This record gives sequence, structure tokens and C-alpha cells, in this order.
Amino acid sequence: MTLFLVSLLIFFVFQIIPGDPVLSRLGQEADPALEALLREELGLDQPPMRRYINWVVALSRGDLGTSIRFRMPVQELIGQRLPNTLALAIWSFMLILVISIPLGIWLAKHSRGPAGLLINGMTQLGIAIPSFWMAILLMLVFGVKLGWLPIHGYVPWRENPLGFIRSMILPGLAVSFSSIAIVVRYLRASLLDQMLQDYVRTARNKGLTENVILYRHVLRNAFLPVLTILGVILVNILTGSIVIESTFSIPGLGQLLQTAIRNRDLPLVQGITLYVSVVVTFGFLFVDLLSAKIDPRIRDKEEES
Amino acid sequence: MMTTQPPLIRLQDVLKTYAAPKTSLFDSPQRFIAVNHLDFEMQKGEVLGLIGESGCGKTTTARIIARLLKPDSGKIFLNGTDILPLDDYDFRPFRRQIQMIFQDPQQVLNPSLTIEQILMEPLIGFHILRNDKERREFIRLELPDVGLDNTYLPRYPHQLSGGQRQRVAILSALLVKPALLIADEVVSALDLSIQAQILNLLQTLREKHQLSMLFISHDLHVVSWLADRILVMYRGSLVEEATTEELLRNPIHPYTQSLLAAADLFEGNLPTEGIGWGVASDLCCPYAELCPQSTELCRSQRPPVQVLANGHRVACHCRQKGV
Amino acid sequence: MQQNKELCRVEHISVSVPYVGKYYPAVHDLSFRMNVGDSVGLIGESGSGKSLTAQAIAGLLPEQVQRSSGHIYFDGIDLTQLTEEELRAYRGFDITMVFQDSATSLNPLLTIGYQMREVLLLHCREIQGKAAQEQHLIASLEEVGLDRPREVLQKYPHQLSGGQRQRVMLAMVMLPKPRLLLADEPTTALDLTTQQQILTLIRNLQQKHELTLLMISHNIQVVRSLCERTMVLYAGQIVESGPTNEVLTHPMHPYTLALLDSKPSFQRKGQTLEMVEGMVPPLDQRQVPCNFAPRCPFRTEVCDREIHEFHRGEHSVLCNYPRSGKAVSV
Ligand SMILES: Nc1ncnc2c1ncn2[C@@H]1O[C@H](COP(=O)(O)OP(=O)(O)OP(=O)(O)O)[C@@H](O)[C@H]1O
Ligand SMILES: Nc1ncnc2c1ncn2[C@@H]1O[C@H](COP(=O)(O)OP(=O)(O)OP(=O)(O)O)[C@@H](O)[C@H]1O
Ligand SMILES: [Mg+2]
Ligand SMILES: [Mg+2]
Repeated sequence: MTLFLVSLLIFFVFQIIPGDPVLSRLGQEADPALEALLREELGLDQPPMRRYINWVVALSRGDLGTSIRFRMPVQELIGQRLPNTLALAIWSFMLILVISIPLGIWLAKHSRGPAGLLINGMTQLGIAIPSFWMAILLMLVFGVKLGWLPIHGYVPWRENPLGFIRSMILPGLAVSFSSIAIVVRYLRASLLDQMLQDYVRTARNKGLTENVILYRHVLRNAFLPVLTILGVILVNILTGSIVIESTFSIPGLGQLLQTAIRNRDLPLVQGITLYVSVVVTFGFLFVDLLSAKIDPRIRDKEEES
Repeated sequence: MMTTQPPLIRLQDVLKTYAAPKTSLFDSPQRFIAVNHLDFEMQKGEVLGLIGESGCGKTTTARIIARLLKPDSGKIFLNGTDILPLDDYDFRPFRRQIQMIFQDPQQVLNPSLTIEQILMEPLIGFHILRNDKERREFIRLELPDVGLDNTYLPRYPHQLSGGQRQRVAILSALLVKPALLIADEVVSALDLSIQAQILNLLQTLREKHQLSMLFISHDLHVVSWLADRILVMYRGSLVEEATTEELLRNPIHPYTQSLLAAADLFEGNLPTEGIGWGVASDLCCPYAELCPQSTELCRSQRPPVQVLANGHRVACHCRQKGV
Repeated sequence: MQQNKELCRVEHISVSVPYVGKYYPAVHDLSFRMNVGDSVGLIGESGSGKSLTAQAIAGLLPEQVQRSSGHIYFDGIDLTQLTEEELRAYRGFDITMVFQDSATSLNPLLTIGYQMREVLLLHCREIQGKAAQEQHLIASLEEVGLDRPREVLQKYPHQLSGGQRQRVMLAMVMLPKPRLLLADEPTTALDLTTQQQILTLIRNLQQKHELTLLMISHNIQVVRSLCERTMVLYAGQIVESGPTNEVLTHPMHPYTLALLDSKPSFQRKGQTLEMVEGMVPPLDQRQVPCNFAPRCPFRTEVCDREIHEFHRGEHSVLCNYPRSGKAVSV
């Protein structure tokens, strides 16, 4: 259902966007006969409704159409680039979890100390910094000044796994930086809030140590509100990687999307956007499932209806 | 005085079950019957006391009436309208008429709002009074009714004592002037003096504004002081219902008798020690295991609810045979 | 039982709570002692500081609330001098508490079984093996009158009724057979029969394991049947204390007298109930010497200047004009 709405939206939004793929291909002064021929070939001479139906019918067969610019099936193009984008996204996501959870916990524990306040202030800054700016900063420091890591020059996994990993470190950091800041702040606030709850007092009354209380009792509860923003984080990562991929010249979906848009390559643009939407929808679904897994109250509610 | 008005609220054959947790891996999923085909009605201005042991389904019944929980089957009529099929939008005009005060106020008072904001919320939500200034004045006027004063308004719920929170919850339900108040164990967290004050307040509201109440309490002294009629539940089923006088003078069901004996309200000689567990089932009397008078019939068939004189209702096989 | 070994002594403790930016004493200069095996009832107006007193003894006051002065001796050791770390050694077994809000006092995301097992693992090391532990937990749930205990262990807090949660809390703190139990309104959601069962259980613990009990309750019956001594708290001060029978049947303080008069009953059906006129003074308007004076029918100018303590045997009262102690029927 959601996916149907998404497909509808994607299709018509791109219909409205100005720019003509045929003209952008042939140039403004093209021969009208040639233009008409190409239009027919691409099916652009038909009314939008008809085209939408054609698109959806093809879609249901797993056919996303043919790219105008590359003259290749769209799914083949996506298939080539997807692994890189996925690798970047998963890598960024892991970075977010691995960095922000311990940092959030640490901050909650030391919320009153000077170090805690300082880092907390820095996270505020982290949210405000745009990811491309961060990317440039990282490149300057680690790539140019220190020379530890490659600044661009993507290395395919098959040729050199180690090189691939090295080439992914900086882009991953750039993509995840603002998300880390968001999650850290959220987790910290949520932890501090949960520490005041009555069940914490009960746990203390039992004689449990503060660490046990934190990890066994509080963390789960504090994680629930954080889960709800994880979906947003996912979107954040995907949009972030579109910019970052071109900054670091990684041949991923983001880069492909940029090329596609520049060339008014509608089938390709639609295909990529649809792909991203599917990923995001599943992301949200996963978050819901996870919340239900953690919280028995949500589980019971779902069972009710 | 005969009125042809429909009852304020009528429950018809309401059933609610919960999934019972599996105790071993091989159990087939079972349902636990929390409210077992319950029938009753309340007239406008009437106070119905709902009593029964802990876990017998009182709160569940209350939540179903307040539409916070969907029953598995059955019907609920408010002023003659079946409210269960209504969606949230259509239900809105009824929402204000039913207010519930919860057993655990701590759980329902929003911890991030001050007491003043908590009390303002229902007034704003139901568009009561013209503007916020009037609403604030109104709240300040009503606070002393529950033994609180202005100094509590800027505080947060966790900064109050248990009884003070309870009173905030009571006030917030009363502010919107509902037709039906569902009061779940509302005075148990209060000392006798404040309890008296709240009870007096409820009594006045009933006399002046024809407030109806479903009053749930374990304190039989309190219930018998306030309620016109009393309904006794056991394991999700109705076992007996009658006017307060009738029930105290002439309790028929053995369970009711043991309840009253425990509270020293009934001078029969019955064992007060009667701890044990009955079952909620369709295949026997829920009280059969514990009942001193139980017979084979009680263990094999659920007794139907019979109506005796004066609207006294009881579900007991012994009564049927005229024992 | 004739024991006079002191277990816990509270000396001049005051507890201050924040109110619009300033701190005011909600519990004021409270002192009392409990011997091993004692059971003391604490009654009083809602908001008089009963819960804060118990929390202060357990060292579990809320974050912004401060214990501003006083000492609490347990086994002769001053608990107020200990660090949080050192205090923990006392918790759960030496001193344990049942909180007033049983609904929020259990972790909503963990099963009852998990939360109870934690106590078992911490304080009942002698019970080894999963099966034995399970048996122990089930037995303890049965003791508090819970039906289908095996299922209860699998449930989450929101799947229990109010009274069932309260009993789970009780069963949980009583697992290690504690020495000092501070019980804050532990039976408000229980019907009489279940309540009786709980009281019997507590009495058994007292006899077999020398449990010492501080019982906070609005339920006079509960206090009467369980406690040897009773203290009446009003606006943060103990206004009357003594043997339960004395205090509850021959109250001397005007507040206690009025309090006990408010009981509703079927015989007085529908009649307006007696209540203490007026309100407890707000935190910022508490006045020395007597906080009850503004509501007191027997007040004279003397009450605005000074207050005397009056003793009759073990029964003492903080009032210039103690009542003769006429019998009250409750
Ligand atoms: N969400 C739930 N899932 C499973 N069982 C539940 C759930 N809520 C309540 N129950 C069970 O249903 C029964 C009735 O609960 P209810 O809260 O109505 O009792 P009650 O009469 O209000 O008891 P009390 O006086 O103790 O508050 C109880 O045995 C309880 O364990
Ligand atoms: N965390 C807090 N912050 C500020 N004030 C508080 C806090 N906790 C309690 N108070 C205030 O301190 C006073 C005493 O509270 P306490 O909870 O001890 O009352 P209580 O005697 O237990 O009353 P009840 O019978 O209603 O539970 C009350 O007036 C309350 O408003
Ligand atoms: Mg209930
Ligand atoms: Mg309290």
C-alpha cells in the first residue's frame, strides 16, 4: 500500500519537474523528425496516465525500464552501483551505533562534569555542520595534512579489499557525523529521564550496583524513544551519501542519481528513487518490529487489533 | 415517577479475554477470561458500587466502558446508543460524558507537565469556558474541593505525595462535569479525613448534578456509604447485584456472604478464611471449588443470572433449586 | 516476644523539598526508635511526609529532595555518614522498602520472573539451580495469594491488575526475609481476604525471622491488627505516638481525634462525613510551634507562642491541650 502511494508520487513528481529528456539528449536545435522518432521510441508521446500504467505493469515484472542516457536496463545500472552505496550505508550505520551508544551512556553518567558539558556542546555543533562540509574537513585533516587515508580514488572491493575499506573510512565518517550527534543527544536525554523513574528506585532498593541498573534496567527503556528516530537517521544516511559519494567519487547510487537528474533520465531517476523508498520503508518496518520486540506493551496492543 | 428514558449505560453480554502466557513450550495458546459475559445497567444519577477480590476484572470492566479497551464481544449502550461500533470521530460527543479516574494516577499524569497544565488540558480539549484566563480561575476555585490549594499548581506530579496525585486525578476528571464518573479505587490512597472530604464532594455532585458513578473499591464501608446498588464480581462473572440495603441485609450468594463476613458487615457465621482460587470458565460456577454448598451441578454448569424481587440478581444454582 | 535490642534509631531528621526555587522542610525534626521485631505504624494526613520519612531511612530519597539534618542509626552504624557504595550493602536484606506506587515501581520491559530472580540471585545465594529457584519464586507468589503463579512469572507488569502488582512487589521484597521492612501503603489495592493473608504472612515473618516493620497506612484496621506502636504524623511532625491501642482508641491530639471520626459506614449512609475543616498549611506557610493550630478548635493564644509535649505512660502527644482521651469507636 505504502509502496503503491510512493510509486504514484515518484512518477508524477518527476513528470512535473521541468526539462525534457529528449532535448537534453539531442540538443536544443534538434531535427524535429529525429526528435519525434526518439519520443516514440522512449514512449514519451503517450499521455502520462498511460505511461504510469505501463511503468507499473513493467515494474510488477521487475522491469524498471531502460535508461535514456546509458541505453541500459535500469536495474542493471542500479545493480552495479547498489553494493557500493549499501556498503557505505551499512558502514555509516555501524559507525553510528558503535560510537553514539557508548558516548551517549558516558555522557549520561558524566552529565554534570565539565567534560560531559563540553562534549554535549560539541554534539550541538555536530548537528549543525552539513555533511559535505564535514567531508571536506575530514579530507583536509586525514587526507591532505596527515596523509593517512586516501581522499578519493575509489578502490573496488574485488581488486583490493583493504584498499576498499580504507577508501570507505572517511566517507562513512562524513555521512554519519551529524547522525551520531543526534543519536548521542537523544540517548543521553532519554537515559537521564529514565534514571528518575520509579523502577530505578526499586532496583536500587534491591541492592543492585549502579552499573547493573544502568545496563539491565535503564538502557532498554531509554532505547525505546531512540528507536523512533532511527528511521529518520536512515533517511539521513541515504540523503547524506548522495552528496558524499560525489565528493569522494565513489561510484554508487548517489552519483548515478546525480548523473541521471542532470540528463533528465526519467526512467533511471524513477528507478533509483523507488529503490531508495523501498529501503526506507523496510527500514521503518524494521524499527517497528524492533520496538515491539523490546516493549511488551506495544506487542499486546498489536495483538489486540 | 416513571421515565421511559433509556438507562445511562447498559452492558450487554460483554466478554473480554487476554492471551495467557505460555508456561511451557508445548502449551497451546490459551485465552484467559477477564470479563465473562457481563450484563448490567446504570440509571442517571445512580451510584453503582463494583466490588470483588483483586484481579476479578473490575478495572478491565471499567476500561471497557471508558472505551480504552475493546471487548471481544458484547454491546455497550450509552443513553441508548451502541457506542462500540462508533469510530473515534463519531464517539467524540460522548467522550466528555464518561470520565475515568484510574487506580494508579502516577501512570496517567504526564510527568513533564505541571499540575496546572494537567488540569487545563481537559478544559481546553473539551472547549470548556471561553479563554485560558477563565479556565485558570475556574481551576483555582475548584482546588480546595479536593483539599489542595494554589501552591500545588506550579509543581510536577513527581513532586507530590501519593494522595495529592490521586486528588489531582480526581479533580481533573470532575472539572469537565461528566455524566458518568468511573472511579477506580480513588480513595484508598487518602487518609480518613481527606477521604471523607472527597466522599462528601462526590455525594454533593450526585445530588446537585445527577452525577452517575461506577464506584470501584475494596473498602465495603466506603462503598456501602456511597452506593445505591452494589454489584459483586467473582472471576470475571457477576455473582450478585442488589440495592445496598438489600445486599447487606440479605446476601444470597455464598461468595457475597463471605465478603461481607470478612468486613464485619454481615453477622452470619461464615468462615472468613476462604482463600483459594476459583476459575473463570463457561463450564462451571466460578465459585464452585470454594463454595461450602457446591454440588455436582455447580461443577458442571455455569449458573444463569436470575432476577428476584426488587431487581436483586444472583447467579447461583442453589438459589434456583430454592435451597 | 521480649526483646529490647535496638535495630534502628532515627534522630532529629529533617527532609527538605524544593518548592518554587527554595527548600522547605517537609519532615521536621523527627526522632523515634525501633527494636528488633518491633512493628510501628505511621499514619497521618496525605502529604504529611510519611513516604519521605521511609525513603529517608532507606536512603532512597528522590533526586532533588535533601535530608538536611539528623542521623539514622542502624545496628549502631550511622547510615547518614556512609557513601552510596557502602549503603548498598544494606539494601535489599538489612533494609528494604515497598513503595507506594506499585504500578510504576516495576520495570515495564522485564518480566515479573526476571525482576524477582534478581533479588534471589543477589540475596538468596543458598538456593542453587534453576528449578529450585523457580520453585522458590512460585511458593512466594502463592504466599501472597496470587493465582497461577507460574503464569505470573512470565507476565509483564502491565498485564497484572493493580492488586496483583502490589502483591508481586511485596513478594519480591520479602524474598530474602529482610530485617527491616519499610512498607508504604502496601495493601491499598487488596480486598479484605487477601489483605488478611498478607498480614498473616508478615506476622509469620516477624515471629520466625524477627522482621522489624514500619507500616505506613491509611487503613486503621491494618495498623491496628499489625502494629504494636503507632505514630501520627501531621505536617512533618510526630504529633502523637504510643501503643497502638492507646492512640487509636483514646487519641489525645485533636487531629487524631478528628481523623478517626471521619470513617464512613453503612450506618451513616449518605450523611455528610465529619472531616477536619481547613487544609494542611502549604509548605511555605508552616508555622511554629503548632502546625495544626489554624484548624484546631481548641486553639488559644498560648498555642501561637509555645507548645508542650504531654506524656501519659508511653503515650505522648504534642499539644498544649491534650484531649482527655475519650474512647473512639473505630
Ligand atoms: N494486558 C493484560 N494481559 C493479560 N492479562 C491481563 C491484562 N490485564 C489484566 N489482566 C488480567 O485480567 C484480570 C483482571 O484484571 P483487572 O485489572 O480487571 O482486575 P481488578 O479487578 O481491577 O483487580 P485489582 O483490584 O487488583 O485492581 C487479572 O487476573 C489480570 O491478571
Ligand atoms: N520530590 C518532591 N519534590 C518536592 N516536594 C515533594 C517531593 N516529594 C514529596 N514532596 C512534598 O512533601 C510532602 C510530603 O510528601 P510525602 O510523599 O512524604 O507524603 P505522604 O505522607 O506520603 O502522603 P500520602 O499519604 O499522600 O502518600 C508533600 O507535601 C509533597 O508535596
Ligand atoms: Mg483494578
Ligand atoms: Mg506517601
